[in-house]
Amino acid sequence: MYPTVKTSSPVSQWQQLPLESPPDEGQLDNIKTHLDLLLMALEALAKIGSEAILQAAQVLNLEGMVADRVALWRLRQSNPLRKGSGGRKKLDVEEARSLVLIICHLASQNQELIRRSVSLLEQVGNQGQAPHRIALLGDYLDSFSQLYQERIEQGESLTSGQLTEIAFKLMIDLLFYSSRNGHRRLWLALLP
Amino acid sequence: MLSTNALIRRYTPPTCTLEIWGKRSPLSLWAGRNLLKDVGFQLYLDDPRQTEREPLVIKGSSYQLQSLCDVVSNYTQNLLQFRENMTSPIQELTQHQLSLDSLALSTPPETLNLSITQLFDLANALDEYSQESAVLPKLDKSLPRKALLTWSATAAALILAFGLPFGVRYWQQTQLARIAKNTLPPVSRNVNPESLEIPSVPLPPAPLPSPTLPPTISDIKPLPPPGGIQPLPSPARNPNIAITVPPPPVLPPPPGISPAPTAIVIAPLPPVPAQGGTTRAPAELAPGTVNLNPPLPTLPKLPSLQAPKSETTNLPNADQRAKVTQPSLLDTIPQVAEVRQYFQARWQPPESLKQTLEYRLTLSKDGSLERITPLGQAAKIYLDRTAMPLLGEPFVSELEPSLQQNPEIRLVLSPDRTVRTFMEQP
Repeated sequence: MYPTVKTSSPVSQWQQLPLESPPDEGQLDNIKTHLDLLLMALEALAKIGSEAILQAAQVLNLEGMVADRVALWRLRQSNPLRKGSGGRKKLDVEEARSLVLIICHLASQNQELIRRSVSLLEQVGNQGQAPHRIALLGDYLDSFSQLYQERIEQGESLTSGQLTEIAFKLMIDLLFYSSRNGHRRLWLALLP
Repeated sequence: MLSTNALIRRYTPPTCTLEIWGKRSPLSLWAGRNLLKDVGFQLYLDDPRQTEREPLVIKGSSYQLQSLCDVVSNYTQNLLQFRENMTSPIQELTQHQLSLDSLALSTPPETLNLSITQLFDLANALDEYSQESAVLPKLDKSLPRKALLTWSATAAALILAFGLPFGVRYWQQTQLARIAKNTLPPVSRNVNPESLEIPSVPLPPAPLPSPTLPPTISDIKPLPPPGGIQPLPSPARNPNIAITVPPPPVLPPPPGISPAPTAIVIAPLPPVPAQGGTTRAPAELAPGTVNLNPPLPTLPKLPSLQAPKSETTNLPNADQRAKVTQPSLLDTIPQVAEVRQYFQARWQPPESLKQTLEYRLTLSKDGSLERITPLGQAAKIYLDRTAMPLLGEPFVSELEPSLQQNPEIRLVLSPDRTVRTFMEQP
């Protein structure tokens, strides 16, 4: 069970995600990809599955957007980099907002784990060690690489070095999204 | 006393400490909340993982703090921006260098080298500050100079209006005739707000003596009932002007509660060894140390009473002024009632407040606040909405010299305007 995290109401958080002009197709594609990858990093680091994502949607009163596993699967399949049906489902702005709130909620629930992982990465960087030798980082890298190669088109063509860098970049992003102001940071990062 | 530098806020994420300092404006007396001037900040990069180094300290004004907020927020947002190519070496991901040129600091550093977790903590502390600064008391940024002068003149007029009746007693013999003849020097509009000395208005002794009637007055015949009262005609209204209802006040969104354990602790600076006479006994508090964990005192034996919580759990939601409660048996020292009266006169619950706020107030010997401990997140968030006096400012009457330990008073402020205080320790 996850610790209870007190957040401000989803309605007020929603209001903090303004949009001056609707994103165009290309920008929407980027948003879909980014959100799907962040969820993938959460899955790999904190072992978060569909159940936890749906539970977060319920806590945030977003069941209307993410009602069940099928709806969630369709949302994630909207990532154009996904293998097979990737990009066919259109992701609208409201769905993007919902995913932003869900990701930040989950990141905040797992903030301690994320912070510990990032601190370890700092140490590894300072000492010139190989990150995969540290259990927490090694497990995350394995798990992320596997998910990435399974799901993402041309995932197999990336070198392990490239996969490692993408995985750590997403892990650090998640740390920033785990804070109280995380949803605003993520929303701004998505907008061009 | 009116413009002592006071710690307003302290943000303490794991790897840095951000302190906001300011001077309390004399105008606070009328504004009903703390107005601040000369706001400044001190940032200590005191990462506990780097004990071999002296913590880096950056000091500056409120404008430099704003610049720092912008620098860190822009840098962070740029770092998080989604890019097609997300690969970069670990060293680049975890080590960051921010330029502080825009702050124009008088002393170095010009660049800030931060690890990624330090950047995260600093960005959070500054974000918290930015969000709170909307409700933080401030004067020097929001009020232009001209408005300040107008305020000062108004304040001076108010002093004359309210201060006079109290001063008359002392001035009667020598000064009253001069005032009556309108020889009082005119209020200068060029009054310098920095040097504006505002005398404190003496509080009436509490409780006020109830007036007594002379015995003969009871024999006086009651007055005959007044004649019929003619209803006044309604004032004429220009039909061309539509009646408009003023829009409801725009309130800031209710602050969320941080999941991160960033505690706000307000505590005084370590006492400076006194140059002149000091009333503090050296055994009680050695210079340069603050006794943050005083030994637990023994509680006085109190008459059996209902727990203070239960006495108000069923309070109705009332929209009147703060409820005036009777002196309680728990008022073991007069200051408990004085604290209650102070907040009953000032406590205006924000509309967004849904829960009670509790504070532990530690009093100094001179009756000022020595320490404020907010109990719970909401109490921290709403601290500046409570009209809480600043540390060291005059607050309640001096303590009995016989008191062995500085008393702690629990203050409970409810959304229905109820104010409760009780003694936590003698």
